[in-house]
Amino acid sequence: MADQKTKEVLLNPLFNENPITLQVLGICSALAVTTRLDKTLAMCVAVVFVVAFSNAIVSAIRHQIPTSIRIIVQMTVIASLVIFVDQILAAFWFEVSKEMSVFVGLIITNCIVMGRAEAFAMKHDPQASFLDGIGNGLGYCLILLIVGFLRELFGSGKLFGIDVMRPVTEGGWYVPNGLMLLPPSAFFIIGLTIWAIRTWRPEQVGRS
Amino acid sequence: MGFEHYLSLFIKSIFIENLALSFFLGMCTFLAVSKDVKTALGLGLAVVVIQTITVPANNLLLNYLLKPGALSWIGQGEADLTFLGLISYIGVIAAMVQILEMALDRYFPPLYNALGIFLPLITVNCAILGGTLFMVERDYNFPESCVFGFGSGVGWAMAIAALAGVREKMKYSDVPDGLKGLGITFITVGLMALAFMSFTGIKL
Amino acid sequence: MDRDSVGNTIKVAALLCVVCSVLVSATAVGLRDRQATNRLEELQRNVLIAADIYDSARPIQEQFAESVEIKFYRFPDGKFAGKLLTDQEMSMYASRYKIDFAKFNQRKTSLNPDTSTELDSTADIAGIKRRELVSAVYFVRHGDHRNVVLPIRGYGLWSTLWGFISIDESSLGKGPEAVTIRGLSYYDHKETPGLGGEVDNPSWKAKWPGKRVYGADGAVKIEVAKAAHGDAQVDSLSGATITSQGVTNMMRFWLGEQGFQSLLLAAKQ
Repeated sequence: MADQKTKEVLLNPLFNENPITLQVLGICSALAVTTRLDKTLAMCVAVVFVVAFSNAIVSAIRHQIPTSIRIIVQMTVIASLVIFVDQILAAFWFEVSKEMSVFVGLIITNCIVMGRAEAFAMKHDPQASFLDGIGNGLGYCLILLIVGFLRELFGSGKLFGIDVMRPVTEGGWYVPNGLMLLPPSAFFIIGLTIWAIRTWRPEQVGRS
Repeated sequence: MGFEHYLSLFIKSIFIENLALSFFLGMCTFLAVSKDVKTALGLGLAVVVIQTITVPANNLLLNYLLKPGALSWIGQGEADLTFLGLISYIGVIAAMVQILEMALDRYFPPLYNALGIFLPLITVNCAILGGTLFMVERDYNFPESCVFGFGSGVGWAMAIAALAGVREKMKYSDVPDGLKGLGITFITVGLMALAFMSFTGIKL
Repeated sequence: MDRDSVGNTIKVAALLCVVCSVLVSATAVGLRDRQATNRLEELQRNVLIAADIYDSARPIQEQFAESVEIKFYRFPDGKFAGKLLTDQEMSMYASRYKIDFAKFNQRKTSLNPDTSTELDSTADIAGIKRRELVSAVYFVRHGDHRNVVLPIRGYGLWSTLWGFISIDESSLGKGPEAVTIRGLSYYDHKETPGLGGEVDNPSWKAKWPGKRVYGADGAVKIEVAKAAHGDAQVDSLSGATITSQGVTNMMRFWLGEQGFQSLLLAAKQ
């Protein structure tokens, strides 16, 4: 029974309650970092880490938090975790941190983090909240990685910076689709992904 | 640095570097609160007000507290507190939102009634924090940050009003079932962003 | 105890501030050295890449120390021509403008109003707003390679591109037309990945070595152009007209009269 629930908390956000496609959360920072898979992956790791730990911490102190300063307390916890991640990235993953620039900071206002802290962590125990955080983080990653995969593959013929389809500029045959590298393509891909998910799971139509 | 400089910065922050359509900031509220024009305009106005206050406020914070050498006025010239940037900016934003909410409630009840429900949403609007972070990265001075704050707020408000207008009309279109609602909104925003790309690279 | 009481609110807020600030400060202070090393090595690596002698198997700082000598160049300023500073002049600049040459930071120097001059819009073709009074110049010696590596920067589509251009030292002092590029590298920019961001692409950078900088009259001739031909044109980046134009502009600025022209065209020292 307990296992059943754990599994549900963890897996529900992947397809049934996906934060991006159903709850419309956390899109802001998602779009800018999906031009290359390594950047996307770094963003995913950062977000999963922040949302899981902020959920756990907020949940652990939920009985002490005064209602009047609730939002600011959550913000402070989240902001501290984000700075922590930002500093770690700058020290150990310099190449990636340089390119992600302001977008790591923007995790603070990633509505997934704030939204889960407010909607789930304030009402559940730390363990469940932690898992909910991981689940939602992974749900976010899933969409991000799909978008990142398509954009890098068709936009520059590479995956993780390694040639898959050799572009013409480097003596290959593939003519890269420049549109894929431009931001609007991320919207089209997410829009079409939503269409695919909702065709597969018609009950999600029109709920948002 | 005459009037022209500020005018071009203003135009640039509205059209060429539109926070919503070129940098995709504030997307969550952008997609969620754009079902009708009236609500969208209310939220847009709230963003303009908060953005115009917080960007210059954070600029002062950066220049007089956080930057390396900024603390020289209390004899701590060596201290570099830039790593506290994020947490301070978000603190300023949350505090400003709270203060504005109380001030409006007390002195301008009609405006409070119009903006009230949107104000808490704004704390987690990445466009606000994003505006501040861009200001930091581009090293704007105080007057520039005022202009940039106002301009970027106006740009965001304009974008959400435009999207709401499109979505109002779209109610009458025959959209495939799975694409209804969120799906088609994403694609619409994509097309709007594509249109806005025609502004890129314009030098003023 | 009532958690919504004023006392508790203040207590929680204060406690949270202390805990979070300790955590954040500890991380920042603990990792500061490592981050500073990252930034320094990034800069050094790109100097070596521009000079085309970078060996990824060896520690960057070691390679840099054994083959690079840093000198400082004063840009032309109204009545003075640009020149390399002597030790005596350096100590004068150090005391007058508070420039720390041992830890010279080009970016800080260019932002500080005391150590930089504002450019008016006709002079500012590279879109950099201010130009520093002095710049680091890297003399790279490595076996037969002798290069002068010069820092350059300029505005592209979204952002300022920071980089280095390296000039073959043996081509200097033989008249303007002989001055030859050895390599190019960019280490900081935020251009669209895959389009303007291709300034980082090794296969594009490989088009630069051997190109000539100046025409016979000493005017900057090197440019990025569509369907490049001749020895002073480099193919533009496809889909990145504005970034390509930005690269041309920054060459014109930094290798031109307001930049390093007098260093490169002076008689051999």
